[in-house]
Amino acid sequence: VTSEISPLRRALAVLILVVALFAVVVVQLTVVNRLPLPGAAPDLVLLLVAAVAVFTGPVTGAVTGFAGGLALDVAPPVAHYAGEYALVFCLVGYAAARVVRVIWDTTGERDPITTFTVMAIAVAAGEAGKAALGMLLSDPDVTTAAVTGLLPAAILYDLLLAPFVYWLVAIAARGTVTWGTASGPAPVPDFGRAGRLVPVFRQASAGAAPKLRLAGTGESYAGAARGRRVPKLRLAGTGESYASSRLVRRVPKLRLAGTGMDHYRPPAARRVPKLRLSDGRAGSSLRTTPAGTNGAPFHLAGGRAAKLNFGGDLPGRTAARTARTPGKNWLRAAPGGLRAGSGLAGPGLAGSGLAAVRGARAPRKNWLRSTSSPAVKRAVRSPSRGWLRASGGAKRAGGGLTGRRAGAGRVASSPSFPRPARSGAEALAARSAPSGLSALSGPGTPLARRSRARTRSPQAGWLRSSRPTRSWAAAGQRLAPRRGWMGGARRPRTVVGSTVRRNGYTASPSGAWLRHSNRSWRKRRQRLLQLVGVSR
Amino acid sequence: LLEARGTRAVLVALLVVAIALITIDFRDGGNSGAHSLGGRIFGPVERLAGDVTGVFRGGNSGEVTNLQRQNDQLRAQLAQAQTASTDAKELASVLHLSAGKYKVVTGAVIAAGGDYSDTVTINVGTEDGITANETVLNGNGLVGTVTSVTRTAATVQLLTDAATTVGIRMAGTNQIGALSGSTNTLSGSAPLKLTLFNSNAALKPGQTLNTFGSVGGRPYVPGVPVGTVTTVTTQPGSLTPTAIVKPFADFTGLGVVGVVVSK
Repeated sequence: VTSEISPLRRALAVLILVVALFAVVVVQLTVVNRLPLPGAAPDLVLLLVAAVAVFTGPVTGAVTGFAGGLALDVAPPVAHYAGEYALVFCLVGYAAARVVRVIWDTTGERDPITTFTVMAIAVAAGEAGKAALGMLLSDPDVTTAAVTGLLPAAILYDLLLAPFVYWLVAIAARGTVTWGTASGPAPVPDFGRAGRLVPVFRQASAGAAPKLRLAGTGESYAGAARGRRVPKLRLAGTGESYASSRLVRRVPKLRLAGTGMDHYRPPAARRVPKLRLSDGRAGSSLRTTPAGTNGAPFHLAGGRAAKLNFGGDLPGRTAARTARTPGKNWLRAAPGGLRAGSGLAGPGLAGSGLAAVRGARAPRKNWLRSTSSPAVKRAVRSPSRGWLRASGGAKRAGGGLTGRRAGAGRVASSPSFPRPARSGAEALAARSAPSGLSALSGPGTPLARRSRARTRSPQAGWLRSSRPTRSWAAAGQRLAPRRGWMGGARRPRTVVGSTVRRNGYTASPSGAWLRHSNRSWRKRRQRLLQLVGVSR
Repeated sequence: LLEARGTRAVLVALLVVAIALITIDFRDGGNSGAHSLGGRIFGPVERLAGDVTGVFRGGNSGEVTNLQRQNDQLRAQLAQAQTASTDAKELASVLHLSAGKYKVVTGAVIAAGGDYSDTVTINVGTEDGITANETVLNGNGLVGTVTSVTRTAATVQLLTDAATTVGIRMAGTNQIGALSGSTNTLSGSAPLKLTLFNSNAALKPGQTLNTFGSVGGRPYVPGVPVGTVTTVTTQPGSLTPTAIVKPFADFTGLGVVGVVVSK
């Protein structure tokens, strides 16, 4: 499992497991079995085995089950044949871990409820297995009457205790166990350093975005060895908990816009690219060409590669929407593209989602989006559309919930945005300078046509890609770039699925909207549900 | 933790080992070396845990313990006296009992078995002179018999275990019969089933039962009170009278018990 776990830590985990197993066996025999409970007694060892299994893996589950069962078999007061419980618990541990893995891999999310359900079923199966094996070996104590009398009670007690054991093991597992890295879609995010958030999120969404992980912390399904609790749905939230604790201020809602930068120190990658294209130098357009090629990073200011991707949506969908009217948005850029490397999730959303939904009023938005992964192929297929689109490897990053709802540029409106002046200047330069790209758009090209029709001067705004929409960008504020260039207070915060609050911030998308967004992970989940016959 | 490629190999290996253990134990009748090894490992720990929990239970501390011990010993002596006074000679001559030569070693229950077996562990073992197949009783009556013993702990099979059968003698009528345990039910301590061997014997609720005794006092010494008849369940036309017996001992709250060891 864990390349990230040091041998010392692993040894510690094994030691803890052994000690816990031994202690639980003793407690089971000396305390639990002596409780004057009607009927049966709960089986703590079985509960522990099942919980450990779902939290670790098949091998650990099987070994733990074998050890715990064997201890129960040979400890003094027990009268059945040695090896019975070892056999049953071993199978239970293995099967529970296996099933939970399969479910995770199928759904792409690690739902605690699913995990717990698997554990509970495993425990019930283990109780039944004990009885079945006892009858098979013609144990005089295990008769049909005894089983019918005891088994329901035993299972009932076990299920009552199961949440408690699950919770304890979850806490214990938080620091010592990682969820498998190879098969698991989401790695354990370490939010200690805010800078890691972006890659984490990207990876997380590359697999499948978990449901409530919007806020990007994912701590709900992984243990970040942190003392404090992280609220699950931080969608709208402030996210301060995982930012550096020095920042006490509140972060505006909806940083989905993709940058999420302001609740921790802005990573360097988030800087706005210099937009060398816009300075009109000869050959500046050449700089964009690599962006369209497979995997070539776009170089941002400071020599950083465009980290991001924000590509936001799933490629298929983006392409489909964009493709509908190639004449209209063939050069459409996404704000996310320009803000490559910016924070959390959002970019994508703003990028593909918004642009698509709004009919791409800002036609050249995506030109900087890099394309290394799937997007590339699409771009190649129809060069007229998105041929300049960039995409940093994680085309799907920001997937998940964040998808389309982000008011791009939201971050800038936050009062705490660290470097407005610089960014503003850059953006101004980007916006006002004629671009090398214009050479590519002859009078006959769609770009030119669109430029004439929609903008006063083609050079003025066509690179103004940091804005999510054209509606406010084109309203003349372009001349005063400092205000709202990345989302000023006046920018309408119409985000799909959300409402605009009086304070100018956008509320988080409603839960219903989230639920009905047509995400791929949802489809996958439906597929799984159909598989087991629960679909609607 | 231990993830590796050979997941299935590990699983198969473990299952094979488990099945081998079951087979060996089955062959040895449930007394293979695994149990004694487990007793050696877990016995002291359970003893310690029993001491700890005993504090909370309050039944194992100071004065109470002493009084209970004395009570047990007196009870055992009384049982011996009764045995001797009634028909000691007869029994001794017939069954070669060594009446009056018993000593009681007291111990506390420190652990209990699982769902399907009525067994407990007591904190005395071979170092206290306990050996297997010795009678266990407490202040109220018969508790069970020692089935296996390690150095520091012994396992007692209770009267209520489904695998237990005790020979009894009805007090007063001297009819003999067999008392067998039954499985646990949701109602708690299970009733015992009594079967008399004499088809003409009369059974009435309220009659008391004593142990009949075994050869050499193993596994049951004679004369220990067992319980009272609560319900007569004799079916019309059946060959043997049957009844439900309520044991004197409270098996849900066993604390201090005495083991009858031969001198």
